[in-house]
Amino acid sequence: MDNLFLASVGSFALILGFLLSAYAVIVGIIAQRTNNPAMAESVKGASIAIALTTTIAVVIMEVYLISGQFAIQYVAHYTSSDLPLFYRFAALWAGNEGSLLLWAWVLSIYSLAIALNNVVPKIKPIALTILNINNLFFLFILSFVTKPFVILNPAPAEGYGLNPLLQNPGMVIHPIAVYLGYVGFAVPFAFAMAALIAKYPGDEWIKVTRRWTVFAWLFLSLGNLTGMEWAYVELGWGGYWAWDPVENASFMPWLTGSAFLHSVMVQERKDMLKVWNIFLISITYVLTLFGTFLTRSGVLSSVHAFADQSLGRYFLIFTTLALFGSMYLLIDRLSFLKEGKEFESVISKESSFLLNNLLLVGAAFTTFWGTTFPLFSELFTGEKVTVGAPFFNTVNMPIFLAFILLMGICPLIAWRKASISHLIRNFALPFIIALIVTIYLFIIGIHKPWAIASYFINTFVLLTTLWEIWKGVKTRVKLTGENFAKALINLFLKNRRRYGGYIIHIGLVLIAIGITGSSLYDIEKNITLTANEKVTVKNYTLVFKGLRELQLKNADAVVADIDVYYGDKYLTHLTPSKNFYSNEPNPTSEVAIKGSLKEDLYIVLAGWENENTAIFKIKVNPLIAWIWIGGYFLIFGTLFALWPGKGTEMGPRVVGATSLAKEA
Amino acid sequence: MNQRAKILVGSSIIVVAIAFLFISAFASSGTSYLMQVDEAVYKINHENVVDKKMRIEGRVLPGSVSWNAKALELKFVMVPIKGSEEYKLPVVYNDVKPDNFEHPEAQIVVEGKYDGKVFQADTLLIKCPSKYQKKQ
Amino acid sequence: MAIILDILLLGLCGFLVVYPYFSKPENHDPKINSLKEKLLKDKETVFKTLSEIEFDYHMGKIAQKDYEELKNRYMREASIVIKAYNELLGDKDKKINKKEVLTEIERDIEKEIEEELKKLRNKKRRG
Repeated sequence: MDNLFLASVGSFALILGFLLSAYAVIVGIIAQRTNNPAMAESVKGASIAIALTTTIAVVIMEVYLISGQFAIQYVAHYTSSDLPLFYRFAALWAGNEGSLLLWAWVLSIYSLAIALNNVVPKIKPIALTILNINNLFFLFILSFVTKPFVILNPAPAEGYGLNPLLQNPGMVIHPIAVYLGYVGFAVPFAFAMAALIAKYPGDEWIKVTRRWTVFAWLFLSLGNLTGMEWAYVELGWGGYWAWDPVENASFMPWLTGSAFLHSVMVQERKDMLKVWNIFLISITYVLTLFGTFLTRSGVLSSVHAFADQSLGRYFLIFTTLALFGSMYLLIDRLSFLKEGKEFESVISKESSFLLNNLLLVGAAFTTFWGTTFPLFSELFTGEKVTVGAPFFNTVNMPIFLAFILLMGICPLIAWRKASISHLIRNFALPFIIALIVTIYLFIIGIHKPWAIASYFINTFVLLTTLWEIWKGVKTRVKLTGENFAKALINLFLKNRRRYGGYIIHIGLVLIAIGITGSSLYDIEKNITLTANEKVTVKNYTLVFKGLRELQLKNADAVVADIDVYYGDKYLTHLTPSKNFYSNEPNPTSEVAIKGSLKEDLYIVLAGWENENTAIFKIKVNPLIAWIWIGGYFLIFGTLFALWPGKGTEMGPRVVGATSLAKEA
Repeated sequence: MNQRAKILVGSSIIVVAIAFLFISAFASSGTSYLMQVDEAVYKINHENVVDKKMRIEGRVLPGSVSWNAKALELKFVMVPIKGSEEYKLPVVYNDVKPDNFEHPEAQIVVEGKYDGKVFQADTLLIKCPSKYQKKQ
Repeated sequence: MAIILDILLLGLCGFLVVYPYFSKPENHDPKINSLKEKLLKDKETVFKTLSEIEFDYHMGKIAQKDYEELKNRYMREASIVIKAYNELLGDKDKKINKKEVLTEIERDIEKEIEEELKKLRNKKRRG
């Protein structure tokens, strides 16, 4: 079937979307200034229309990808006829044009949701206009710079196929999760700017956009976690994080986004930190744009680069505009943003949240400078100076440990003013137990100072968090007379935000424990073995039995058979392999992992001389499974906190009694 | 006001601590100069860069690869990505040969030190070849 | 074929954009509705606050003096909100059914507060 005509429809839809966005922005501004309801309704109609155009473009692209229409350049570049259906579908975000299209689509859907929803009516139209400016930018790029529907003439008979490194379920989730995260932050940003522009005193915009913020944060977390998992399982270097510029690009907004999530709670309750919050969400949003710029411009060498110079230039311009625009607005409206309450005590939840923010933003700041240093040093000295992983680790490790410690202390601190004797009483037991555990670890051989510090702090925080939950349940039992189980369930369900947060904290602690073990005590051995030769790494004895060939669906594999013994006992049979795909000149490594809660045995078939001689990279990564387990806790905790229903309301607000009477 | 001053002082201490950490990490963990192969070869011939940490980007000269699996020694010659192949940098890397190493479009980044004769690479990174833009 | 689809798309989008200029504007009465919603929200919030203060005090996080001060303040606010809310309801008695208005959330929270306060009063009497 010749469906090539759809390509021009797709391109037409994108250009139409571009024009509609321009209309929506211009008319949106006029409608706001002249207070014209018909125009405002027309902008709403335009939002529906824009979403329609992007949806049509996405659908057409998917039709092409799934049907394997190689006359379309993008399809030929990223798929082949032997590619499984699932990956054809996901090829939408495998390359530049498709992923930008996906971004534009998600953005237009989010904008539509805002257009149709009658929240904060005074500033919503302005927020919508800001979102439409974003739509305008992305549709401009898609219409005139990186066009998705380029036709090849003559049409190739077969496509290049998807890079086998990307043919992995985690890798399918990773990009789309990151985009959903990035785009999600545009909504709270738009509302923050709208509040500034309109000099709107209320902060319902924070309540309204809270869901969006948590939602975006959830996906950004998921994106980072799946990225790590993919790097570990697919790339075969035995690690999961290299402080690569593109990794940092999605980590920085996660850090500032986490800070924002916490500081808005202070604003909700105490009407404080207004300026800081607007600054934070602006920085977060700008970092998402910047992250996209880093990934796509090829301006920093990275294992990821999508290298496209002109696209990079446009992104840089847009990012700079967003940064200067938001900062100008913030500074200009500074006097208008009166603070509500004061800090009532140095030891209070408010101040601990502020400390939390300082640490997170500090980490984001250092990561930013480390990442962009090559660019700036080249600008000023002519030489590109890079900083490596050791720099990031040296700076960020102490910050993260301090942050985790704070995570453990903060729940015990009350709003306004904490009772210090209460704090000390509640820290005593977890402190002592953590100390005992740490001494035990020292005795069994854990001597590295960072490991000791990390295990002590993490154990302490885990215990204080569990203790806090335990005490909460007991108090509820006392007050309501419910039995323990019922009290536990009700406590969680009625305070989703708080207890979801505790689950997230526990998840982070587990992740930190996993990172500590696997990065400080990992063991690596590279060795060449002949058949029946064996090697011992830690307590594992590996016996290499030989190589054989295996035919897979779209690849030929060379497989190494290895018998693994733990001590004297037979443990398992592992088969690391190298897969040769028909469209790729170089094979990919399929790593073999025998994992347990204690450690991972990780084997890569690095190469071979003949069918009896093979080269292996062997790693033992202690505690690495806890990173993924912690990740599940984190995701679950966020979903729990996010789920609609009772208990998701914010906490008490210190309102003036007279303001209520005035309204009545 | 008193509380506010305390908060301000506390915050400043944190900020200063982080800044201090930042600067000292910079000084100690060693930054490295990123350069292209032609720059690197020029530096080697004209300056004393022995034992100076360098980060060099280039591509593999086809036919120059020698791989000793038993000893885990990879020897090859790097040439500039864009530029004359007369700028040659001999590299030795004592670890497993990466998968995409001999991909014709692969871009390599090595990090290490020049020992007077060859460049001893501690790390070897290869850029994702499938993401390259096709020549229009 | 492509041209036809293009024209259809253009037409549909054009309609969406132009139609509002020709249709009659909707008539909300946003002011009263939103005031009612706001008072409802405030009522929920105040009750939740009281509940949280009770809870934190029993967990030992707040000192006795702070607890009493906070509780008094929010009890006062609660009574103001309830009074304002009832006044608003009274005005619109003819239009709105009172039953609709008391939502489940409200009922639960009120019950919870009353129960907890009852228990406290009982404890005080005994102790």
